[in-house]
Amino acid sequence: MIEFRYLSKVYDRGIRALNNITLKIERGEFVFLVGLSGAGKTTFLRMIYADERPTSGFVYVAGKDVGNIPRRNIPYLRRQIGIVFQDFKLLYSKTVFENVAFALRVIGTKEAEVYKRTLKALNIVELTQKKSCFPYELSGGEQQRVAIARAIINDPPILLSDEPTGNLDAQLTNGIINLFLNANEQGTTVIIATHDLELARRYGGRIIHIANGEIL
Amino acid sequence: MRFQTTKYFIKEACINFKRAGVMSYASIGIITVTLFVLSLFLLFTTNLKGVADLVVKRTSILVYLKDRISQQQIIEFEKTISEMEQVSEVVYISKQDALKKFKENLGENKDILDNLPSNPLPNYLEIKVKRSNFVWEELKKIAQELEKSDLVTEVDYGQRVVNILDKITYGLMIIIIGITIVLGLVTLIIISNTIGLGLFAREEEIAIMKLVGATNWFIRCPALIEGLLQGLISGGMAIGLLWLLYKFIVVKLSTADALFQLIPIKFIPLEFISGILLTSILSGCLGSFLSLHYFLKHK
Repeated sequence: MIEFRYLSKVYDRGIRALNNITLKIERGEFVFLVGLSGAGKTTFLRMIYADERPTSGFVYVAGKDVGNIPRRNIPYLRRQIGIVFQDFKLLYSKTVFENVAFALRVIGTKEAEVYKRTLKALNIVELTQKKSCFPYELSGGEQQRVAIARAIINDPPILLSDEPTGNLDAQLTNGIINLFLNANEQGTTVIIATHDLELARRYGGRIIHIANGEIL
Repeated sequence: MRFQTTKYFIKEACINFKRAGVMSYASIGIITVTLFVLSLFLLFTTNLKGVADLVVKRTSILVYLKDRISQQQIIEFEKTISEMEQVSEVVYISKQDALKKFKENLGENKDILDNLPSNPLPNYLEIKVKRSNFVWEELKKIAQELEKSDLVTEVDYGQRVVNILDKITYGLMIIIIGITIVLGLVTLIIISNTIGLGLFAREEEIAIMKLVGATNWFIRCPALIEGLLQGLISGGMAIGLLWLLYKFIVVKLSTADALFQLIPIKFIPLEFISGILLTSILSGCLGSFLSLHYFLKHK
């Protein structure tokens, strides 16, 4: 499903974020990408949704050379990937419902369908009651779940999440990881980037260690 | 494009328009004034010819005839002319009458003509033309027709003045085209700036749109509609203002001197109205397109 081949990424001023990475993630895998802050986890994820281009080497997603994808095709790649960002990236001027529905509207889904599927996604993350709230009226955990609802609403084959449990207590963390596990059971390939090795160990799945831009 | 999506775009455009608040209104205000200046020029041009008629005050053509033509030919020629649509009256003045008239005009100095060996003045026809909005254009048309006749030596309809007017109108047209281009550019820059500021304020939102798979066109469309709206509102307001001014002038003139009442003040024709609206809409769309182009490329 996802393949890195001799991939390196060097940012301006010579900062080497990823160094000669070669690995494969199969369809339907549940992967924890574990490493300290600054190890290259976020860059790793950004390579997959073409937010960054490799300095050298290749990244393939579903057989496509994403590293050299034309700009105009990037939106179509991203529709195949649900992303839960570390800072959630919610639209603070829109309600919870609007935020989740946004991912469907962007791809031109019919309004009746938007309504039905948004409610379904909100139901999965147990936020139906708060659908009319604005993000700033929600707790961190709730905002996280809105971000997850938006990421899973298109039933994407790939789900990426960057530090989804950063500031959450054990119980909330459990709830969040379970949402990813459920998606994974439906066949979605899930990659969770985290600094918390314990968390990764607790839920099983494949663990990829990353440090100083290299896979250990 | 689906109706649903179009509806979404229009809604988004209105939301962004409102969110830009004072900036939106300020840019509409400036563009309205800009377009109003342009429309004033157009109103002036529209009425220039009417005013010119008043200045020229000429509604007659003098047709000088050759010496050796029979009375019968003259009568027939006179008849042909009086049958022309725009002609109201034709008067024949023989060379004897012409000389008499000339002497009368000279007054005390009429003696200087006494020693002439023969009458140098030609027979001529004085043609009166019906009043219309563009008298001198009619004069020119009729005069050119008459010049073709074998009986005629010369036609005088105030060519010099008409030619000058032609040049003024032509010059004004060039100035107006120039002003339209400059004002169009001003509109473009203002709209591009307003929408650009709005885009920077929504940088995060646009980044998120891109991350969840929005195409550039999906991001562009609401902004283009926003630009179109700004252009359309400004253009409409400029025309509205011009209409008020026009009404004001007409009312003022109708109570003013008799002289001014003769000027047939007209509002700008439909082509000019469409031109103003088209300029404002196109500059609006192009303005937002340009700022988007920069934004989508660099962000």
